[in-house]
Amino acid sequence: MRELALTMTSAAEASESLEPVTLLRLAKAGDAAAFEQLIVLHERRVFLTALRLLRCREDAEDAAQEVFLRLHKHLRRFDDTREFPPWLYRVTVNVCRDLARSRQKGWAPEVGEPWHVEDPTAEYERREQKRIVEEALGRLPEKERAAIVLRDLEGLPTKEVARILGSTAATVRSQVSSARLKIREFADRFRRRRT
Amino acid sequence: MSCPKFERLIALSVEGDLDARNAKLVQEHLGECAACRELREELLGSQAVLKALNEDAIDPAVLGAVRRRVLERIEDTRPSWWLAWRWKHAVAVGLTAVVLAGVVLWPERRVPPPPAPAPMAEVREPVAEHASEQRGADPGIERRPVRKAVKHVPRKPAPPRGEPLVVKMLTDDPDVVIVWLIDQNGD
Repeated sequence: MRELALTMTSAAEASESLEPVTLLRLAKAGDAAAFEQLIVLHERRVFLTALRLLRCREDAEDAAQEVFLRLHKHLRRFDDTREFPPWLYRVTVNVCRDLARSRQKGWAPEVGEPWHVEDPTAEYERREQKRIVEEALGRLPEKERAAIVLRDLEGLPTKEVARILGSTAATVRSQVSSARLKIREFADRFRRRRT
Repeated sequence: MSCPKFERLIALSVEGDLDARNAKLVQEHLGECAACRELREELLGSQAVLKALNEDAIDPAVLGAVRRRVLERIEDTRPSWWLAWRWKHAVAVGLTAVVLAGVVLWPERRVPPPPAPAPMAEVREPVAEHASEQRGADPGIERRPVRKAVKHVPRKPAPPRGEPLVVKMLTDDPDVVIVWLIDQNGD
């Protein structure tokens, strides 16, 4: 008599090995495990983008939560022929914009104090540079910040960024170049204050 | 002091965002302008720090908490499995009860009894005159002509109202059948 071996896996484990497109289709059909895996696949990206746009960890958590709730609500209507990540980015940007306006926070961070060199080690230097650039990022106007976050931090092509932001490639290029110059200028100003 | 005209182009060139023509233009200018070369180096530095922001560690617990809240919210808006089960099965049980009630409450089929046989209709045909002579009837008394009995034809049940009544009269001659059609008005 032949024996038949069966391996049982949980639904979550089974969906982990699926292609993103298949995962998306299963989630659209109502598969809860597939939807959870979809969140796992994109949560870091959504959270980081929200963090860079909102400059506040708590707000970024709320924004990420709202993004995935909207995803669940509108997923059935999502067109399979379209690419999913750009659509998710667009939702993220819109949620962050709505959240910032509802909390009347604006997208600019609080004014930071010039840092003082207490321990001029390389690691400290590196962390301080990151803090300065982060602060500079937070001071950018809303549209320039969104453009540079999607282009330079998320690595999306200019045309894709334009589509997500509902803009043109030329406008995105202008916003990105302006943002890069402002960040560099801000960092340079702080560096000169130290010396 | 870098050249304002080339500042934006240099800011785009550090990430390869220029077309071939402008990239060549910038390259040629950088060969001639030290201030713009310094600007380019500073931009490369700030861009490297900007991209390093992505290396920031994110506590997996934070992401897990967000995911858990999302799934809980979705679950809250969905009807509980128990309610859904109850709804579906309530409908099924209800339908089954209706069907069973129909079977239980009417166990016997009330078949209408067959209609009582109608009285026989005798249709007699007038017989020939010699029949009365054969019987030795009194020639002085006027007698009714005796009709010869014919086969009794069981009357068929009356047709439903609205349909004409068909009356058939059979005669001695099997090939002759007289048929009356009487409508609702008696015509």
